[in-house]
Amino acid sequence: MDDAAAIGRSLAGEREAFRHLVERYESEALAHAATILGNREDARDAVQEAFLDAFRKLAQYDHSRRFYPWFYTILRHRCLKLLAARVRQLPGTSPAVEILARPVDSAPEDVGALEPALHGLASEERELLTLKYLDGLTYDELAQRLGIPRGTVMSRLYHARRRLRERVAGLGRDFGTEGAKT
Amino acid sequence: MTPDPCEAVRVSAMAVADGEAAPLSEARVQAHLQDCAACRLELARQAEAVGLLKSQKRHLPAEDLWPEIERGLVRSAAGPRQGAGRGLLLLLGLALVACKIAALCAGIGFNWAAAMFPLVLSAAVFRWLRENPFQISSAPRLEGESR
Repeated sequence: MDDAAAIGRSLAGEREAFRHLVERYESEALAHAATILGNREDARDAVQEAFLDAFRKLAQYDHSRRFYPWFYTILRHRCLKLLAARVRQLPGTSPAVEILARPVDSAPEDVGALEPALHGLASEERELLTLKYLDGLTYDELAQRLGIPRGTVMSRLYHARRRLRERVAGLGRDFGTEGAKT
Repeated sequence: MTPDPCEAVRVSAMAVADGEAAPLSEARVQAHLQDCAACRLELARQAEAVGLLKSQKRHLPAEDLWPEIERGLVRSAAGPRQGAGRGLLLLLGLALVACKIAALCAGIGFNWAAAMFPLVLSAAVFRWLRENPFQISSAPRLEGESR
């Protein structure tokens, strides 16, 4: 069943059709929520609530758009509400959440330096960098997803990249001394 | 505030590297970079950090959220009934207050059954609404334990 059919049948009240959408996107949604929230439990809550919101709002869904970008705005709203409502847990008390997979062809120290560097960034910086460089969204797509102008995307992305570079360097990797000589 | 010319150049260079349209022309960016070692260094460092990130993949957690979402959908389906129940709860509250005031004013001597009546009525209403007003979980979990 494709997304359009699943949405149509969900609108007719078929819960099993909505299940297809949940099962198709829950993993991606959990990964995105965990990136924003930095906490597995909160991510699970946010994704569950976002799917319930999506079901209630399906009548407002614009069928010319793909489902997941529409759903992402709902999920993001849920995540930001959770971030605002919950008192931040002390470092080390929240269950560790992995943002990066561990590919077999990557040096362990690469992920080892990047993972804590990403966690050290502000939530919105982490979200922006991973949407751009892990998911490959364009600046226009980022602007639409985050609800900000394209120019703001560029400015925020530049500062997020700089902070990432500083964080990674602070964790023992020094970058760019060769490239700067040219 | 006027943007730092170095920052404007770096943002444009980043956009070009990302395959996007940049605010400044490439010729202007190159002219600046030729004379600015600080910009060259910063851009090279960022490119390396970002290159490292681009070589990774997202960790995609494998979890089945459907059972919990389905329970939520079932609860949502009972939404209008809950909405009506809220009005009923308000009425019940008002009735209880009126009952208490009447008892205080008239000095009516309630027997034990009459005294228990409001409690029994409240419990019956909550049961009818299938509500858990105090959100007490019947499945306690240890801290950090996954659901």
